[in-house]
Amino acid sequence: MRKMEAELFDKIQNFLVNLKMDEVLSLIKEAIENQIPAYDIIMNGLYEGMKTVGNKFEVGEYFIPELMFAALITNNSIDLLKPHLKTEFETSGVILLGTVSGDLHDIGKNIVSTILTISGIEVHDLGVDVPIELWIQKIKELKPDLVGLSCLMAASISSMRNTIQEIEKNNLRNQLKIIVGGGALSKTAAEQIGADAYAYDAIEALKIVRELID
Amino acid sequence: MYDWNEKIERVTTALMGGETDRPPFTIMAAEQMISRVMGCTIPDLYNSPEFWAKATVKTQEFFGSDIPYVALDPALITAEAFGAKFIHRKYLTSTATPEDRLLKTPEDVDQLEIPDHRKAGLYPTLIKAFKHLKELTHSPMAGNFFFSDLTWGPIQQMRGEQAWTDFYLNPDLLPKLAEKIYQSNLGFLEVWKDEMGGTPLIDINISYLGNKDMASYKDFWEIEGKWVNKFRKKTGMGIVMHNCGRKPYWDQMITDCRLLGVQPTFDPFGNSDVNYWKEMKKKHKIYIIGTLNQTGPTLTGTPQDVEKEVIENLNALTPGGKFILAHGCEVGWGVPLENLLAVKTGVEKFSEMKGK
Repeated sequence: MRKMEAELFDKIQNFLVNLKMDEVLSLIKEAIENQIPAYDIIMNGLYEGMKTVGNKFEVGEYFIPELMFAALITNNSIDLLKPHLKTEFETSGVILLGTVSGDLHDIGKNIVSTILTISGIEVHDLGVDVPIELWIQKIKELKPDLVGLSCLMAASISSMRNTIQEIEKNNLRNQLKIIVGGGALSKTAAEQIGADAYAYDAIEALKIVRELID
Repeated sequence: MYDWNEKIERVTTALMGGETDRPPFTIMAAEQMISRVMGCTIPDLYNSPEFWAKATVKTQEFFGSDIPYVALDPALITAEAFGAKFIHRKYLTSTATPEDRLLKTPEDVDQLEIPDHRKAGLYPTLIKAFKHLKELTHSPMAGNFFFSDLTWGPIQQMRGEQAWTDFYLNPDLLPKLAEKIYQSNLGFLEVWKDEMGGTPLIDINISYLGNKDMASYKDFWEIEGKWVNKFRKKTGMGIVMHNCGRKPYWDQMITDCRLLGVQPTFDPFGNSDVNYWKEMKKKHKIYIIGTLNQTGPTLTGTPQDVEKEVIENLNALTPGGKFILAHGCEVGWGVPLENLLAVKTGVEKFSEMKGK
């Protein structure tokens, strides 16, 4: 890595960690002008920066507003980089992501989506309040390695359980792993409703998704 | 004939710290569970205050509960009264439509008018339902619970996901919106007083932001805690706070908002188990309404598992009174009814064991 590139990546990381939107976007533009490959900018700048943001969240230094704002900066940066990505951004693993039927909360899911995307996972986000039939249809169509179910409300956990049961009934369960997460869930509840894995937050979700795909 | 007076006396005695024949309990049956028990839809409840009150009472009677209250989601009624559009579902809790948020731009907050609570949204229906509830139960307590949501619930319903980035992008927006929600709650209280007579004793306040996994304590205080405290000072009501979330700032919130009691969501991560609440009760002299795990045995276990959990909770928290057994949060439509009925069986078994 050239010195100039390394310095630019360091700056992107630092400004992202310090939640400076304008500065990050300006550096992304500078990197593009200098013909630094978009993939390298994502992996060495944004991804590394988000890792630090995630660590700060884990130790209680950052909270959801900080995580959400960092995710917004990252998404805006990726929008600038997309036209320059071409085919160089190779993905490893496919995940189908969504909030289960009856639940419209998507903050956690969206953070997971951003973090997985910049980590090279192909994410198909079905959105919120996803009916069971759509899960089944998309699993058949996309053949994902993983299905990520999210719900915030305790009252929606039974909907999550029903979704997993329907995936089983449709004989699709053996071809994929199911990871669940959300405010009201715990590891025990996840096991009881038939999930393969549970993630406490987006940072843990990335680690588990990587393990399951590998 | 269900004797609500006897139930109310049990609750009141327990809250005062006195001895009761058995510990009081309630089932957190909001719209979802009421529609399940009654075989109706949620819009059926919203369409008729008489039926809403009757269905609430019938549901609580079905479970053998000690507290009648009109179950509602204060974030929903607040946001809807301000003009937010909601998807009203048959069996699932209503939520504001994400693609059509009320407050699309920061300027929209300035245009937001405080609702007329005699006309806006579900408020008129709610007030009528309160009145019917009082008539049905002949219970003064039926009229003594006021529900408010200060402020994160309505903010999220009106502003959506953007509310999180507003902390950085539009720092003036959230305090402005919080103040409007506070004013709206005061407006509703005035109508409540006119229609029901007197002032409610207790405000069940629904808080969401006061969790270490969500916001810093400073942000919680600016956007939510400060307004809860202001509401308490202004109205003189005792505040019982419900907080959905992980790792809540209970110690600080109880002190700074001078809470009378808490209705904590069960924390499956062990940050606030029964022993934690035993200590908190002693330390802060607060009422506790809870502490059953809404995602544990009730959802995925057997009636025997629920009874065991009930007895464990009662053993830890009934000494000294000031405890009403309940789930930490609303129980959903899909929860097995036999597991909810097991709460009463567990309470009775506990009382038999204590009597021997």
